[in-house]
Amino acid sequence: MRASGKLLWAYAACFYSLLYLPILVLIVLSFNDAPAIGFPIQGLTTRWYADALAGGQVMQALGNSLSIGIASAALGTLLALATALGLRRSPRWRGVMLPLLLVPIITPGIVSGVLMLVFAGMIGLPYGLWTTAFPAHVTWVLPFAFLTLHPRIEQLDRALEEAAMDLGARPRQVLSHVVLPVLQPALIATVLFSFTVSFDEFVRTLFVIGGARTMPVQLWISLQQHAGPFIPAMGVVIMLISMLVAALGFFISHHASARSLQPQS
Amino acid sequence: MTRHLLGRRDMMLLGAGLPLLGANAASAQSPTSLTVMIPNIAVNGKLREIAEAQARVKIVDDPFVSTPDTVSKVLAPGGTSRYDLIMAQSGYSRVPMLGPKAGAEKAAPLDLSKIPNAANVADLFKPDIVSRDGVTYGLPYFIGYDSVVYNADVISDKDPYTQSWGMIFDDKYAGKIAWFDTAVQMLTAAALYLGKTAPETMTPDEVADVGKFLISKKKNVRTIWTTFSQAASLLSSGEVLCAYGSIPVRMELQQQGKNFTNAWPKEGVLSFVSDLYIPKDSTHLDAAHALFNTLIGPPYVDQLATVSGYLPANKLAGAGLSEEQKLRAGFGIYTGQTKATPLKLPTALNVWIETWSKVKSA
Amino acid sequence: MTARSAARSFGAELLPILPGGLWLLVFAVVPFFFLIVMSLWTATVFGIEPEWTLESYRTVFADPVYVLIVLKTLRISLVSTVISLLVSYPLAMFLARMQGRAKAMFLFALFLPFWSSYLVRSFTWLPILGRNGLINHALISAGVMSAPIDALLFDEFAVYVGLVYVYTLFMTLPIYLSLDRLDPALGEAASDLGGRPVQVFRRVTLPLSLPGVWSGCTMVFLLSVGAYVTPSLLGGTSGIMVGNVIAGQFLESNNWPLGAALSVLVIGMVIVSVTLAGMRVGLRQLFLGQGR
Repeated sequence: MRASGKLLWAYAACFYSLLYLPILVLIVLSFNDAPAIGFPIQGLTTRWYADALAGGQVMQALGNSLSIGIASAALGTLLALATALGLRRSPRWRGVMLPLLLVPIITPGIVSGVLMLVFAGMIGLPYGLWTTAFPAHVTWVLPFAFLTLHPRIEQLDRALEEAAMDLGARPRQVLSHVVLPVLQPALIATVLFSFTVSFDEFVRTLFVIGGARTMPVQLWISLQQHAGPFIPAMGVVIMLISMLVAALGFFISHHASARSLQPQS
Repeated sequence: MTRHLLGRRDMMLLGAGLPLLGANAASAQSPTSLTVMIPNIAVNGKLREIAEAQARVKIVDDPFVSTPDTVSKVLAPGGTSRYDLIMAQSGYSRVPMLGPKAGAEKAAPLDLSKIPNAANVADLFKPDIVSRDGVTYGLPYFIGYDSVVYNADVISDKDPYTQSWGMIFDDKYAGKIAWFDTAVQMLTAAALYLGKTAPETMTPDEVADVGKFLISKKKNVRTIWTTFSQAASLLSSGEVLCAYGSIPVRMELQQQGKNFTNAWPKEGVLSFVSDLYIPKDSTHLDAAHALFNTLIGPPYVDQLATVSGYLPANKLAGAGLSEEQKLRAGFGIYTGQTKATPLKLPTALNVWIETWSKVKSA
Repeated sequence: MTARSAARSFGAELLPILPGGLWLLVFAVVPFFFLIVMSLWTATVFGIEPEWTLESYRTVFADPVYVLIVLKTLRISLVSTVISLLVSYPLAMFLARMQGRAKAMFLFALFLPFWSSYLVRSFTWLPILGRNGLINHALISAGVMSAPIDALLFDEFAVYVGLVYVYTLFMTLPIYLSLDRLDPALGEAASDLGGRPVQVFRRVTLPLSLPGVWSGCTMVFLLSVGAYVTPSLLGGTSGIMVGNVIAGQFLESNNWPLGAALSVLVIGMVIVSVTLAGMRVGLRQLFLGQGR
């Protein structure tokens, strides 16, 4: 056991080094005084940060991305949780729900974007962050939230719930006092994951966002129409701010859950 | 298309009405918000300030992806009421924007009395005015051109070899070439190089031959780029020496002090004229006309070339530049000093796109 | 059970899955059917006409090029799913064994790179793998080689690097979550009873993690099939995937019916290949939870 533990540590070290290599490169390139993204290093500068932040467009886009990301992660996880719990109790609906859940992932991004555009046109929905982009994000996030939560929920020990029931707990109490606390770490991970999925989405959003911008849409327009030497700096800024927001969320949820769990423990 | 697709005009009217409500409430004092689909580079920064101040509007720009995409979005259900001003290449957009018959136009008829700058359209680009039965629907905005962009530190611009599209096909720079991922542009450039005079009229067999030629030259190609930043990055990092290039790429590299330039191929640069249209059901016709007029007149046109590298399709363009500067910027196209082949919509577009897919997957 | 209580329990059963089901019905299933309808309509220069035709499907099957691209896409996606699984599984095990604050830190560190935006992240591989990039530079200055290797970038290899990198999180997370619940005592008990580590892994750990593995593989495989940015950025002249071809139909010609027909082809081939694989390995049973 101990030997395999060391092996895992060594593996994790390699894994994280590779995972962070591009991030390191990104940070280095964000200070490179070159006309386009890439090596060689031609001098150091901080002007790309000034360029990236100029005009406030980036901050606005980042704000949009964060709010739509948080909202669609919350709704997506909620829908996924209800669906996964429901399917656990009544497995006969799986045959219907599982294929439904895969439809959004299986449809190529550009096609989803075009379909949403046609759909919005047919029902006369104006384009915008909340009118069209938000539903598109929730639809995109939902299957991922489900696929992350589902294995965990399937493995929930039924004996736990049955014991609670035997002790006279009502279904709602079982849910809030037994099931949810057990699922809590998985739920936090799923919300973070859903946020990440939404935060990266751009093809579907691009078609129906209208005049608003999310961060990836803003980035894509820059990549599409400019040489974009400031893009690495933009990437660093985005990462720092989302890190702060996520750390805050992490901290708050950790505290809240620690407090809510106290009476039971 | 809209009519057939829905058969529910009332829904459409509802759709058109919703944004209207919002706009009316706000339009009392503040400038009218206009939704446009124009490349960001032309309505950004200083150019946006000029346009907004002169036309007294607020520009809301929806992401511009490509001409076919822009046209598809206008043709989609409800599309003609979503935008107030759009840009599309005249060669591609003329037919779909005019529609199959009189009355089926997707663009609003232009009131030329509100667009006095229409008189400034350069003679060369008069054929790109889109009209039917004496009514004008679209006017030339700017011209862009594609050529070979190359690293002049390594490749001397005195080398006569640089004056041909062969640079991105022949073996001379094998492994140091990048192509652009679009069917029409790449196949047209190759066809010109192979000596075809009117590439857009090629038969499917001829297109297939051009495709075979490209497949045979693929071994010389390092990669096929899709975004401007990718092209700039490939050139600037030395990954490739020459690339199928559009002008904004060269402009940005030059503005950063790099020695890049573009070839003037003897087969002709590929030029394309982009027109402006006001979609048929725009709810801000007056403001849209005002912005239209601003975008094709001074001082906006003077700035456009310097900022974006696109050349205004306008008699007043290039004022204040020396003859040499004008030639370098591509104004030679206006006078015939620089050979240009207008990019036209192929008659068998589907065959072209399928052929390009084959080239890429070969 | 009386009829009324049956109806009530039916309602209670349906209630939790109803919101998700309805949402998907409106925003995924209805558009999906419209996709099929659109693939059967006529493309003209003036847009789509709702006149039924099989023309788009005729085009798709007239030349083997499209089917070949889809097959190639499925192959690339399968390989990158397998690589991704091999890379992510040990890390998921590692994370599952961590405790308390360290676990939270490592989890957070796993998420962090994914907030730099997918586009930026894909783009950074160019300066790493490129001719004058980091790896070539390092190898040359270390004296390992005299000339840069071109094979690092703009081929299938680079596509695998890109896909595995951008989708690691999608594989690691569900596996970690299914392993996390495993009682470490279980493994220790098994090894105390004389099970060798390999045996313990095969008999205890692996079977219990299978639902997570299935989730991760589903996500990575389907995401890779639809990949568009990564292959076009890193694949060079040989890494093209079907996502790029579909994009062309929407962005370069406004032939929506052909784009729709191509999507239907991809989706059909994905369903067929997953079903076939499922029949062989019994995936369905795995996913449905150990044949309950």
